[in-house]
Amino acid sequence: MNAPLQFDRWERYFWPLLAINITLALWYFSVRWSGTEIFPSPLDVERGMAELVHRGLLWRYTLNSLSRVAFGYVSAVLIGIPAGLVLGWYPAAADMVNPLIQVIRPVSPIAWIPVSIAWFGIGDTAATFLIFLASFFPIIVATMNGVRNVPSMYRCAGRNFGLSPANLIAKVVLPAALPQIVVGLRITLGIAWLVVVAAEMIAVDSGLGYLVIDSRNSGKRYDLVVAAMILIGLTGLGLDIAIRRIEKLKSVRWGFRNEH
Amino acid sequence: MSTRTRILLLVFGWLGLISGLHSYLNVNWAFILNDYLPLEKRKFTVAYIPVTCHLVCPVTDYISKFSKGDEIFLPKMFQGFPEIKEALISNRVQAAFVVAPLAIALKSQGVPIKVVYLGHRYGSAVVVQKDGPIRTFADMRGKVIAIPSRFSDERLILYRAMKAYGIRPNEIKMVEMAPPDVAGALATKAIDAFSMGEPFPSEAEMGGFGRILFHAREYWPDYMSCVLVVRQDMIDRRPEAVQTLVDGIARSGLWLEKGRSYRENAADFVGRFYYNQDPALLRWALTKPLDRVLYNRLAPRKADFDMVRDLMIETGVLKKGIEFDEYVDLRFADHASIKTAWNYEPGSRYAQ
Amino acid sequence: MAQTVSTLASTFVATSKVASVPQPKPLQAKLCAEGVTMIFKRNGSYVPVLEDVTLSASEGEFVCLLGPSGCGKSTFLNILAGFLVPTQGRVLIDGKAVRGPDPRRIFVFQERGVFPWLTVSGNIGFGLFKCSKKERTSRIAYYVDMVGLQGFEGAYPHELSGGMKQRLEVARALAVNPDMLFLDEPFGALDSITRLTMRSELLRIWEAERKTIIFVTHDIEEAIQLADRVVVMSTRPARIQRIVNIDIIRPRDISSRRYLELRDGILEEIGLAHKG
Repeated sequence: MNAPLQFDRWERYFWPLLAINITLALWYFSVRWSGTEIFPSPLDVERGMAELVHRGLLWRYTLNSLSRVAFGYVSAVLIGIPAGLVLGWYPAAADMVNPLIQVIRPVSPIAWIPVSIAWFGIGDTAATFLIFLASFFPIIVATMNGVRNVPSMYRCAGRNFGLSPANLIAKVVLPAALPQIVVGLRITLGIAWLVVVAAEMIAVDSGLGYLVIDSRNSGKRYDLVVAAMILIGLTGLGLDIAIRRIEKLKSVRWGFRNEH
Repeated sequence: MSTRTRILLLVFGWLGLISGLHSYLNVNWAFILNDYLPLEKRKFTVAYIPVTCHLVCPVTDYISKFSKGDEIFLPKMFQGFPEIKEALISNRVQAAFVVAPLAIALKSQGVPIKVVYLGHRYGSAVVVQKDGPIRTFADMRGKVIAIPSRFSDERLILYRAMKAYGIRPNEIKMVEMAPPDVAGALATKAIDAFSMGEPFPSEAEMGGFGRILFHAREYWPDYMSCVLVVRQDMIDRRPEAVQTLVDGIARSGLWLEKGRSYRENAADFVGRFYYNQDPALLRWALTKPLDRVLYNRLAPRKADFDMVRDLMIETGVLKKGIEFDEYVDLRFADHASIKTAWNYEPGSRYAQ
Repeated sequence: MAQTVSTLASTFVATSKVASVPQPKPLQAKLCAEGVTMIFKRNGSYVPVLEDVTLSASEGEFVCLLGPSGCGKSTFLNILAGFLVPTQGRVLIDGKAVRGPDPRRIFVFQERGVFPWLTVSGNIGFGLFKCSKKERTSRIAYYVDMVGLQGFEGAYPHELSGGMKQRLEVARALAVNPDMLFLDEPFGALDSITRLTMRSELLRIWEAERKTIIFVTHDIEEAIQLADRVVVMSTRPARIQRIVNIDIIRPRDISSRRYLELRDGILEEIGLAHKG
């Protein structure tokens, strides 16, 4: 009876590793076969990564990018969730603001670079602003929708027990909307991390996004470009796993159907 | 008609509509079909970015349309040097206008190219805030200045100026920025100065927020910035096509030197049809003063390039030395030196 | 005292016929709905749901609203609780007009209105924010005991069965010690065995605490087993068809002759109701 259980646990690591290995092999052979001058093979990238570790840049750049994303993301969340709660609660306000949001939302952060430079100069603040901008709209929309989807039954029950409007929002609407808000948090974190390459185009001098752009600019160092891409991907994976932990909390888990 | 059929029709109708409109309005068919011509007949592509230094490229293309015989080449506009670099390396373009240090760096990293001609002389300047505190270059200590790339002569000129004033490299902060962003950054005082090629200094002057501190030629007589590089395999297989290209460029350069009216005409058609820039801006860059950018004496000279190479090694962007002959092929420039300017009058439909 | 008077005032019918009973006088009534009419506007057209409903209930009474599904009894209950404003008419509770929901009159919802993000203790303690911590803990413990959820204090609603969730909701409602309870088909989603258990639980709780209860159901047996008076309502637009006094002493024997008499009488009424 033990055998099936162990099979499962072993399998959880085996299949993804197998997929990764197959991908690496395909990558290597396609580079060899196509004779491309630009795209590096996995071995080149590995050497590039070793070089980054050797120059002490790997951790430094990762931390730099993470700190910029942290500032931009957290400030977007701190402003976006309350704003979303208010907009979701007062449909009239939402109707007024919604067209504006929907117009600004699709504009890529890269297009905001000149504006960002004009307002914040060049450097970390401008880069953090771009990350803030990219994170703000998804989280406010997710919160708005979460609030709108709270069943009126809960609101009625809250009023029934004599809660003031402020308490109603804090004690009923917010917890009820929390699963959807947490999903919004996860998606927004993904977007914030995605934007880091664009954000670090503004004359900063460190970070994973900067590494991508800089390696590209300095000639033929595409091995570093792909190494930076892989690092960005792995860090993004780590962030996603961390935020999924929040979804497992009991006070939020009720919102997600599949249990196992 | 069922809902499913309706949806399918809508989707494919929409796809068809925008594809049709796109291919009619936007697609450059000459460029695409070129790839399917047999090798000998295929025109080769020359890459450029919309700066005044590369003006000879669109000028040649435009004028040669009016002359007998076919167009010489297909020009392709890019937005930045990294994209040109990648296109050049993977043979999507066969020739390109790039900055001289980048050409040297690429060659030393093993990309098979040769410099065959220059793009221009002069044409770069250091611009400061109009009402700012910087009066002479000595005031640049501790300030922030934007450069287009570490592989640019605009950076090297700063080092030459710093040497003249005894300023050490770590006393000035240089940041790499995309050229289109520097005008706005200067206007909002995000940076204290920038060192760029035309038309960005002109843009700052015209906009009223910039003042030229000095032109590049003040610290570097015979300043050169952009060069024309061609892939080695192109030179080996179709040298006569390369020669035609260089001839055309040379003639365009001489044509631009013929006088003010020709330059103004060039500003007009390049600004409208090629660069999407305001013709008034290009006119300013080309005529105020008339020798802001020069398009003659475009044959590569060893002394110029050796100096660039030495400065590159000194400032740390080049690891080891590389000899002039390794990356320059002078044959084409020699042949082109006997050419005369285009015989094309502004507004006419006939050129020769 | 008022209760005894009103009970004596309701006619004790010894005959086999069921009859409409006069309602308690407004002055003595706990709840008094006068001429309540409700018209909804849906998709541009007017939908009348309630028509001139007048009902009184006295303190500590268990009143059932009985009618076919969709006839408007839930709407009426919502109006009584203050969630909806009637198009015409008014509702008085303790002599004062109802303007909105109030913690003295708690509504127990049809679709399991427990808060899924709170534990059992958290739900029961939800309305107790004005109490001291000690009092809260003791009241929560008392009501957990009363509804029989001992051992589940730290459990979340998604870990409970349907019957347990319903009990939790009743406990939550009772914890704030309201005067009145409104229950909207609370046992509808439960299986029939659990339903029987829940009915006796509810009666036990009611007999312990004697709140005024207005209970909506479409199940005749349920109505007769639980209520003091059954208000039979017609199909939409709902009017009060008949009010039947259930004069059997609790615990009620469902095989007794009186019970079957009352049941058949109401069935006849309902038969009328369906055709009407």
